[in-house]
This record gives sequence, C-alpha cells and structure tokens, in this order.
Amino acid sequence: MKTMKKFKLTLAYDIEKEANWLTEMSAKGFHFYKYRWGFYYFEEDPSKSYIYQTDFQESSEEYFELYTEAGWEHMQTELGQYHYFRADKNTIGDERIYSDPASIKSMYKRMLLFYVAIFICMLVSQIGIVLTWNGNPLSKFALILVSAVVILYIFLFIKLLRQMRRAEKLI
Amino acid sequence: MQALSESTYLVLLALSKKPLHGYGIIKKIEKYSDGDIVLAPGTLYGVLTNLQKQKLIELVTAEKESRQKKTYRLTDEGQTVFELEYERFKKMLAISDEILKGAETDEDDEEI
Repeated sequence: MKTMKKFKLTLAYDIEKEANWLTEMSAKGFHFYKYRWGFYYFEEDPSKSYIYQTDFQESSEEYFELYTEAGWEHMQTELGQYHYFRADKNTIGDERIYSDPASIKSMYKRMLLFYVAIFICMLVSQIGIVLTWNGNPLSKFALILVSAVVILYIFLFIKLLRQMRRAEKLI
Repeated sequence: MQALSESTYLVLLALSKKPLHGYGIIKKIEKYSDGDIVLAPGTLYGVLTNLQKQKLIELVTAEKESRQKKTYRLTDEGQTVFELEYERFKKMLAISDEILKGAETDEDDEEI
C-alpha cells in the first residue's frame, strides 16, 4: 500500500480543525494512521473514506471499550490525553464523538486546566533564573527564552477560552 | 437542586432499572427513543466521569459470560437525585398540559 507523510504544525486548541483536515484528506483517499513529531502519515486507498475525531480526556479501559463499541477505531494517543479516532464514513453517518456543545466546552476546559498545570510547574522550575540573577548574558538569554514560552502559553490560554465561549454559544 | 443537563438525566434514567456498561446506556436510550437520541461516546464518558465524582453512580465488576465487564450502577444518592428530577419533569409536563388545555376557556387571563 502506498504511503505518504506531510509536515504540519497543529496547536492544541485547533484539534477540531485538525480533525476536519484529516477527514478531508481521507475523502481524497489518503487515510491518516500515525503522527510523529509534526509529521502526519497517510496510506492511500481510494475505496475508503473515514471521519476523523480527536478527543482530550483522561482515558481508562472503559473509555476505549466505549468508543470501540460505538464504532470508533482508536488510532493513537499523544501526551496521554489526546486520542485520535476514526470511523468509516458510511457506517458512522452523522454521529461524532460529542453530541452536545456542553460536553465540547468541557473538553476545552479540561485542556485549559491541563496546560495551566504545566505552565505553573514550568514557572516554579524556572524561578531559579530570578533567584540567581546576576545580569550576565546567560541569565538574560534564559529570561528571554522563558518570557517567550510564557507569551506562547498565554496565547494558548486565550485561544482555549475562546473555544470554550464558542461552544457555550451553541448550548 | 440545580436542574440536570439533558445528557445527565438520560444517563440516570438508563441506569434506573439496572446497571449497564457504557455502550449499553447508549443502546438503551437509542432503543426507547426510537433512534431519535443517540448519545455520543465522548459526551457519555464525560457525564459518567462527573457522576462518579459526585458519587451518584459507581463502577461495579460484573461476571458476564466468563469474562469480567465493568458496569455503572446508581448509588442510593443517585437514585434519589433521579427521582427528584423525574418528579420535576412530571410537574413541568402537568403544568404545560394545564396551560395548553385552558388556553381558550380561561376568562381570567386579561386580569393577570
């Protein structure tokens, strides 16, 4: 079977857009099956078409059993809580992994709390930069680096809050 | 008590007679709604997680066809919450019927 890979950067808050892209690719005959370091791997089969969905949730044995029985094939899990699923377009019909906006909002809220926790850990671990500050180029470089990451996280938080508000409007 | 979300109510309703595993809940609601209501797995799992946190349901291991399968069961508190919500819905329906029935004959309406 012919395969191909594509490089694409996806930020956390864009998982719905990512799923739509994978579904579009599948409609063209290229089916996503693996993700590694920014690369999406596809295999070609013009006879099939899948609907792709990504979930963010703490999983368990019951979790995967439920999705499998509901017709979703588990493809991959990233960072422990991002789960990629797919289902055949013809058998799944209009069904998706979420059936009401309130639960989509909860998903983005879980994601927000997850990144806030990481963010706090990072700030605590980098407090040394301030404590050992002596104004040398190395401290300055470290401070700039950390500041850039802080800005990136704040950007992510704003985007996630926006996704939550977008889902809330549909409730 | 705050009104439950529709999905939450449906899950408690599905479990009110007997414990079920996750997909069993989806199937039961689908069957009794003639296929109109199909809970999605992500939505259901989120509701199950929340209900477990609130101790309204619990996971129990059931021996079934020689393999173990976990099912969800209402706790006593869950049963109470479900009954309260059921009574609330019944009352809402009764009020609705009264108002709809009296719509044309009610002469006091203008005084309100």
